[in-house]
Amino acid sequence: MVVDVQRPQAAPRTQPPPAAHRVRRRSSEGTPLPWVLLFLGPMALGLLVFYIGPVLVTFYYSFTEWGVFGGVTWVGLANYAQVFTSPEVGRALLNTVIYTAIVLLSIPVALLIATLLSRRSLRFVSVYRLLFFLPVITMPVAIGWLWKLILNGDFGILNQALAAVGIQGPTWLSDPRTALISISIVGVWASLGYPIILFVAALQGVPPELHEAAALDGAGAVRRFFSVTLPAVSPTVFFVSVLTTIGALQMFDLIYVMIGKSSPVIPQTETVIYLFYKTAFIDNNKGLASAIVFGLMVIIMLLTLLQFRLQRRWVHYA
Amino acid sequence: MRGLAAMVTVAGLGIGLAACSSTSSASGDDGPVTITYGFWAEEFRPAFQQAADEFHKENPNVTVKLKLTPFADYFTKLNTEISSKTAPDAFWLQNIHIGLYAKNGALADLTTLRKDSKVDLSGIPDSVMKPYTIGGKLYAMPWQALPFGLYYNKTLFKAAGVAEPTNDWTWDDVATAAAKLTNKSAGIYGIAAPVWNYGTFYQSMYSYGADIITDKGKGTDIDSPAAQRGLKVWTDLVQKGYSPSVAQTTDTPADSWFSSGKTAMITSGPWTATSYSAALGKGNLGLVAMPKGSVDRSGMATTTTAIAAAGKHIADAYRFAEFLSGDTGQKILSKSGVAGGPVNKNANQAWIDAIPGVGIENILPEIATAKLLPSSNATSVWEDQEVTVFTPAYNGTASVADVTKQMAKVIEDSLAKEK
Amino acid sequence: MPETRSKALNPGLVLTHVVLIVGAIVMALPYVIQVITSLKSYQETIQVPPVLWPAHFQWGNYLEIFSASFPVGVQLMNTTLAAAARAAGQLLLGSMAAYAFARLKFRFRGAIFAVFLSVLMVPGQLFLIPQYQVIQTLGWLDTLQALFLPGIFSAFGVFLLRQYFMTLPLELDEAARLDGCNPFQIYWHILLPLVRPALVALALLTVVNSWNDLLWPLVVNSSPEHLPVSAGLANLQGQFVDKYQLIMAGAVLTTAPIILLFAVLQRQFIAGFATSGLK
Repeated sequence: MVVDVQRPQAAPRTQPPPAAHRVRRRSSEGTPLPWVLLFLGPMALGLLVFYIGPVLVTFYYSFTEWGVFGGVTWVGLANYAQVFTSPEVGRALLNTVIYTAIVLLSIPVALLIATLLSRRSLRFVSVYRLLFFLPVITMPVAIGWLWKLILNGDFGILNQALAAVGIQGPTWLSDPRTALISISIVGVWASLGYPIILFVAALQGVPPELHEAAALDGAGAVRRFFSVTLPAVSPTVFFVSVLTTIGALQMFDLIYVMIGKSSPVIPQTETVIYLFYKTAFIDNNKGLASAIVFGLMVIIMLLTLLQFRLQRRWVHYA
Repeated sequence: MRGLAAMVTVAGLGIGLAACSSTSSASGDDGPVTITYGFWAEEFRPAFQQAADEFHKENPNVTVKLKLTPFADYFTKLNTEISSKTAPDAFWLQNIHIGLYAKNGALADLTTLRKDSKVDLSGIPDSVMKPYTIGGKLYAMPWQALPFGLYYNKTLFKAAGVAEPTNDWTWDDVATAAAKLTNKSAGIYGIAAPVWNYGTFYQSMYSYGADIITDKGKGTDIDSPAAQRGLKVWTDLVQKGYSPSVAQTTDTPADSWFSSGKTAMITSGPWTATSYSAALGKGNLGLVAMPKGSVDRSGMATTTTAIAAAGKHIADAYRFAEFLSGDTGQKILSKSGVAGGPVNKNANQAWIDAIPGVGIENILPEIATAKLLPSSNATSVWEDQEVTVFTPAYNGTASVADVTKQMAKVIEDSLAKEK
Repeated sequence: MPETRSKALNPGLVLTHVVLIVGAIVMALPYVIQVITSLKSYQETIQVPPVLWPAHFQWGNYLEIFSASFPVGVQLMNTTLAAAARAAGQLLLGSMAAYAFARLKFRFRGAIFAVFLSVLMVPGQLFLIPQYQVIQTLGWLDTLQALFLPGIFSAFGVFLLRQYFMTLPLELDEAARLDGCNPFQIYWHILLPLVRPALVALALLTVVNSWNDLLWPLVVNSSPEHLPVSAGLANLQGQFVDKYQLIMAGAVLTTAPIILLFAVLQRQFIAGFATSGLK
């Protein structure tokens, strides 16, 4: 049985698969329950106890006012009312959305790098891969350190370079006009590591026969990338885009490290999760914090749902 | 799955099925007892371990076990533990937290224990002990006082030909000196003026007679003329160019400006003495009392030991906290020279000896006369907004009168919610 | 017939290397800065203008880390065990659940997958207190298993591996089924080996995530012997003064094992399979 090289034109699959493929199955209804429990059970159980349970509990808390150390009083929708009318929440949401939009740029960059890294018999490829991997394991403190070194208004490398050509650069991280963009660029840089690894793994799985057949048809490198490589790794691209979006919408560490708690540009840079952290653990208002987080969760869910709906258009499964 | 679901629900609802029995014995226990002591700064460990060992000699049946949580996560962890009744028996709290924790029932009432105790704490000024009695009940024992002062760079003063600061300086003297010390072409500023409440405008506001939080925590006078004058001290310094701008002191911390010899003066607490001294070189660092306004009153922070209300060895934990404030404990802590000053004046000399050659003795008298930094039952809620609200005044885009009025409203709204 | 590449200097190849070199420098820079900073004195770390190269290499920083409250050996062991446990759990449980979502048919499959995914959309800090209480109920506060227990379960691996499984042709399963294989055998013998690069990537990412985990271990454990090395490092951050040179030195020390792991696992990234296994 030869794999059909022209796969990319086949109808992209969502679940469940069309009936045609089910003809040869012995059980026409579904997999017997014991098998499902075997495969799904352990993970489901753990998630239920440690995650889903707590999420439900927190949902309950979002309708209450927490005493600082426990003890709840029901307040109904008061927290949510505050979330929807608070200008601080609105600003944090705007900051978060802008940040996320910029960070999504990391996906094509990562794909490009991964493609270059996957060139066959590339010299030093292991060294390159290691170097690209380093940001993933560098401590956030060190990341903040480096970028503050570069972006420091008075003594930073960037401004010294600009001064050499006569431009006086702003204090990138402390100027309300530039702080968010600066953080977002760092965010793009910091978001490259994981996708590169995952894309490299995915690219390993693209059958060489596909490339050969396309080359035989006269397709150049760029053309082959778009019609062979990209569709073949589209499930991974989808995964990366969903997770990068979710991760960017939940950004916290970068702000914490680079902006700090007493900077005048916090309103221009604080993200929703930073606001959550402040509300929950510094202001000790866990009821309101729960409401904030659930508001964000709804937005994330909608965006993810949208991405899942859109995947029919461009993601190709086997 | 039913049993598991029940367990999840119960555990999730925080009913605390934990094995912790809630019987807290108020009297001392017989038999060997171990109490846990929570703290947040690694550099204090040797001093506190020594204190714990000394305490053990005097109380052989009580062993103190130190538990460190780094400052950044200390309160997150502490609050989680208090909610689950697994907090350490005794733990550090800053003075600004006492109200919050006491009001929410997290702290044990120490009044009776203190009254019945024979330990001599006469070395502690009343003004230092008073703030920890709330509603007639004692909730914490102070062990460290952090008076603030004016540090200066002797080399820069000599180079500019300006007379060195004295303990009698006023804020006007500071401004005059800063003007003469600023040398733009050399990149030198007279003083570092970050938007930092503790070290800068709280100090000046207090010194002009403002209390910031008034009426037993129900009101504020941060928009009063006195407070405005206090804030203006600092906004003027920045606007006249005698200090780096707000953006500059955010990008590069004020400490770095001073340590690198780029500003001639800085106001800060005693914890920076050693590192400033090392940075500036031997004999180059000076320290005098906080400059005065219309009154001689500066702001001070303290660190205390509080006892967990749900603890099982309250009396023994109290005895250790008391030991730390007593003559022996205080001398041990001060000798280490790690950071703050003693609350007990019988340990003053130990502290002076521990940090020689800087001028620590100049800020010592403040311990007895300073006013604790302002706090309410939910301090961080309004305090965190000061940077955002006040920065425009530093940048010259808003007036001091406007920003203080704005801040007063923030504080009033916040206090109203504290009920 | 393999693609021929000319032996002469291929402009595409040169461009590739240029892009990769520039990219690699940009990527590796903070790690390099981390190492350099670890060898500075404290004054040099806070100096402005910044000191790019230390006057003397302070190798003593690395020794200073090993202080009484920081039993580095034990903590490194804790970190390693916790990371290994999490990776094992993620690989096994995650791949099994991923297989279920990708290949098995059952009611509400989509809905259950959505519920799994929703866990990813909630920020970790939210789970802090409820998870603490679950561990407390189990009586496992301040233990080794508390470190990795919640972390074993995650939808990340499930989602990731589901995607990879769904790239594999259904004909593989059908052929196996015709041969009399049950679902587990299909999973274990046929499909799992084919997603090896993904498994390696997942293992690596799980280990890295676990390695840097800080807030959870700090909250759920207290004794230094039960804390991971990230917590020990955090104690180097004082209330007022962060000794950056020590923090960086600690970071270099503790990331060394991961770099080693990555170097070792690199070989696994190399393609070792082809769909010609169908025949």
